[in-house]
Amino acid sequence: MKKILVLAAGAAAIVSAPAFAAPGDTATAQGSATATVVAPITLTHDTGAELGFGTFTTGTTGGSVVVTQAGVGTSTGDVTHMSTSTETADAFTATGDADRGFTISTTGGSVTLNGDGTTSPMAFTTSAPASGVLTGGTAGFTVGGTLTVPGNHPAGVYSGSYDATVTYN
Amino acid sequence: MVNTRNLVVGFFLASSLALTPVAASAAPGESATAAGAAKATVVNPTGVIKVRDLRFGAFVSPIAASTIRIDPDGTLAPGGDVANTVDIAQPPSGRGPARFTITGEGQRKFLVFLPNSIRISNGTSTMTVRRFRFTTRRNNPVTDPRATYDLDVGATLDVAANQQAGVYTGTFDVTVNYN
Repeated sequence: MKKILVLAAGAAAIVSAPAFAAPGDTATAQGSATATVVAPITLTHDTGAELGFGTFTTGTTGGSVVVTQAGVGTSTGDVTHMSTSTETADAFTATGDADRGFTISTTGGSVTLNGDGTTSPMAFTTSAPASGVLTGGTAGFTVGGTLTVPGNHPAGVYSGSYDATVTYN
Repeated sequence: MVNTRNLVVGFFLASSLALTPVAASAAPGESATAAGAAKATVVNPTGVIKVRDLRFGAFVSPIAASTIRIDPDGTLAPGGDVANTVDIAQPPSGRGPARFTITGEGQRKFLVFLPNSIRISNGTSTMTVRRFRFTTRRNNPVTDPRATYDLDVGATLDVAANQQAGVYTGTFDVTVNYN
């Protein structure tokens, strides 16, 4: 004997509500809920990049070394760059929400002899663009700075660090 | 899914229109005409129309689970890490409660039904929108001569830690039941 199974289709007839309901009736409208989750912005220090004030003599009264965001170094006062000196701007890459703008802030800091954090510090300030746009989700920017050099400062290799911060608009 | 706990009873204001009698014009001496009075009462058809969507706006994917509540009056109440990033630049649609305009006849009562919760999705990931709330305006009776009632709808959005980036959307029904 053949079994015939009859399936009762539970057809949920979803009647799209007319804009104007009859008296005693119901009317329904559909709304949307939306939210935009933005990927966090990340900032990476470009490998090998550094704010390089170059190689120089301090002279007896000192002065300063200025490195532009384009990486061009100049000295002032009694400070004189060696002919072989190379100055460089620092470089960072920000990634995040495509085409969203962001602001950039950088701190100053100081460099110390052999980077030990205490010996013979020389202070520096930094200069960076005020803002950028994550075109296609990424944006690079460079940082220059100004190093204040005392006169008759001990010779050696100085190093230090500073902070760069990016914030979404 | 309708939630009978979420209901409001509203009243429409009567909307009537009295048409001015129009005197029929006839050529002098041709015939005699007496003007009659005509009067009609026009009532608005009943319905509910979406005016604006519920927009939670843009924020950065939080490092810890967070919530964003938008009240019917537009008040923004972020909870958790998203509180740090709700002030980023917003999409053109902005942020705010949904609005539905309910039309009806004067003095007619109605009930409003909203879902308990819905999911919104960016295509791969989802978030929950819950605790739908709306204006009841008990202290602000409907006096609009057009016999309409603006229903503002807010809700709470749950955002997971490290919620996947994207534009999330979902739909919900607002059903009005006329008594």
